[in-house]
Amino acid sequence: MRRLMTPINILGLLLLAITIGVREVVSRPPTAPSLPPLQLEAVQPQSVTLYFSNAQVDGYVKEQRTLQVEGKSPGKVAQAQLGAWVRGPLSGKGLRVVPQGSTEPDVWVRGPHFVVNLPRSYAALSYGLGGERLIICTLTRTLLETGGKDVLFLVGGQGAPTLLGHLDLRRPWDKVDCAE
Amino acid sequence: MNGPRLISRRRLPPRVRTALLAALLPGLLMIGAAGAQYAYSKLKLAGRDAQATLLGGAEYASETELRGTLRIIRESPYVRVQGLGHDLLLPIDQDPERAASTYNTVQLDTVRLQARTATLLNGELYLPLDTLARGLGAQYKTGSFSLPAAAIANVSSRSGKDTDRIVLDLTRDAEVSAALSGDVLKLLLRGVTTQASSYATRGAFVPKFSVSGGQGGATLRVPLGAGAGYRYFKVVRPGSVRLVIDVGPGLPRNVARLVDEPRSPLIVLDPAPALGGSDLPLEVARTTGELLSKAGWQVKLTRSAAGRLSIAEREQMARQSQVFVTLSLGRFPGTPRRGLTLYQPSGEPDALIVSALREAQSDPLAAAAVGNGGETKRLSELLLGELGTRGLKVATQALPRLYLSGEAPHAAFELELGWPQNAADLANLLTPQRTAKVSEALALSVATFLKARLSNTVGSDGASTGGGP
Repeated sequence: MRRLMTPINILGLLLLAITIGVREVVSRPPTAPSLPPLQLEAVQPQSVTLYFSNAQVDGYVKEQRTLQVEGKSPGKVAQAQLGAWVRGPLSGKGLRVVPQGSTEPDVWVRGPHFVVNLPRSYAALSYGLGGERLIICTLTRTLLETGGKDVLFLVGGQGAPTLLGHLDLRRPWDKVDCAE
Repeated sequence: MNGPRLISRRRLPPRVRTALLAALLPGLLMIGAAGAQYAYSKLKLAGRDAQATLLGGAEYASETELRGTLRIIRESPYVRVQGLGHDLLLPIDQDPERAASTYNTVQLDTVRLQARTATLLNGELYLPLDTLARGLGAQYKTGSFSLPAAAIANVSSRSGKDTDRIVLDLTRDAEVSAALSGDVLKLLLRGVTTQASSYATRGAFVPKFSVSGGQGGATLRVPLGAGAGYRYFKVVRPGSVRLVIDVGPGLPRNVARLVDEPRSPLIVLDPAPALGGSDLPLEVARTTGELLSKAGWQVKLTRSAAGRLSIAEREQMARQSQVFVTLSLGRFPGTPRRGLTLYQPSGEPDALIVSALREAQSDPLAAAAVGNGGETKRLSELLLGELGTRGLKVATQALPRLYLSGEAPHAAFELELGWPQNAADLANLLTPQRTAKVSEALALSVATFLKARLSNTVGSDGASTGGGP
């Protein structure tokens, strides 16, 4: 009679056991993925400079402000700056550039370029040339205060030649365009 | 005993080697022959150093070398060469050796003959210098290709029944441009040298004319009689070119539309939308428009009581205008500001075409198409003066990136008439006297500016024929 426990038989048995084990493991239903834990970015105080209009609507009034910004990304800092810009000056002689309760413009940052989407309601503001310039230039100066090259303005999410009919918005604006 | 051979070299059988050599030899010979087909030499081309390629015993110059001197247009399988008033048509022969023979037929102006023709070497076009010299009337000897100096060789005139004729014999062709300044026809012959002299004729239409030299070239000045027009044309001959100018009452006066435009300038008044109750911008625009229209000027408004033109239409009108004035009111929450403000555009305009033409002010047509930026300043100064004499103080501010003023090629600005949110300003704005003062000042300054511009651009005749108060 031949031997039953030969090395080949033992090896074959082991392989069979491993195969059954692997099949069992891979046939199990996948476990439901659990949600990653919510990690809020730390809200940190950020010192910024905001620009508003002077009393004669022909120049700027600067205001240093400390804003609470979630994270440090340039986009979030810029968005926080625009939020503060809409709310207007807290002190000094500066004038609020848009009426109280106005919608906050959206801003995106692409390297040194800012893209600001002005709400469509801004195009209905019945300002003169000085007023239109102050909207564009206080935003430009505020965003470019700490860096960046230029600001491109959209109106209602689309490229527009002008906001109120006085100024050209077809090209991005830079600090030189908004000199004192 | 020899060691182990790491690389075994198998020698080709002798018959195979012979066959391989036999196949390679003609190829090597052809490469050598092709390399020996042309060589390079120094060439003096129209006064500058260049390189010639010797091909079949003849000198060739590449398209790159000749491009600064001649106009070369490839019209495969031909090449067209234009210059000195001549037009040559040379077939492009792909075989350089055959191109350097007189096998090909070339066309020199209207004459067809057997001569060397163009060819391609490493993809670049090469042209035979002797054929070019023959067709263009240039002076050529081996190593030197020179163009005859452009000069007026002879001046003659002939009086006729219907027209008088002036004939200038030139040593070679030159670019001619005509400009009419008042009643004087000026023909500029670029790069032509001459002695300054005046001529008297027996003609009824051209009693006298003059020729003068300058840096840009020679200028022929012909006073045109009342109602007389002109035409000019060239007669190109081998070795000389004749410029013929006919003057007579039956001929048209070819005045470029751009140059003639100041005679009927377009004034565009752009009243901004009303703020609050009063529509002062429209009132001032209407009154100013009426004053100017009555005096014969062409005025268009971008807004009426029915509505305002679209921004694209206003932009179009700004581009067509000689004077573009936006009339607006100031408004901004919380400001105590008051008074009139004149906003002038500053910096480079956003319209690229305006910037480009402003840089090309040496060209008379470019200067007529787009002002040099000083026009706005002149008109602004006139307006400030007129408003000042009427007791109105105006603040001025120069701003970049103004939209419609940046599109306007000539005088353009924005006049802010006041701030209605200021009680004192509102009281002033609502008085008809104030509207009348501003309108009169604006109309008078625009008319004065356009009259001065007309006389500067078109000459003394223009001032008398143009409309105006």
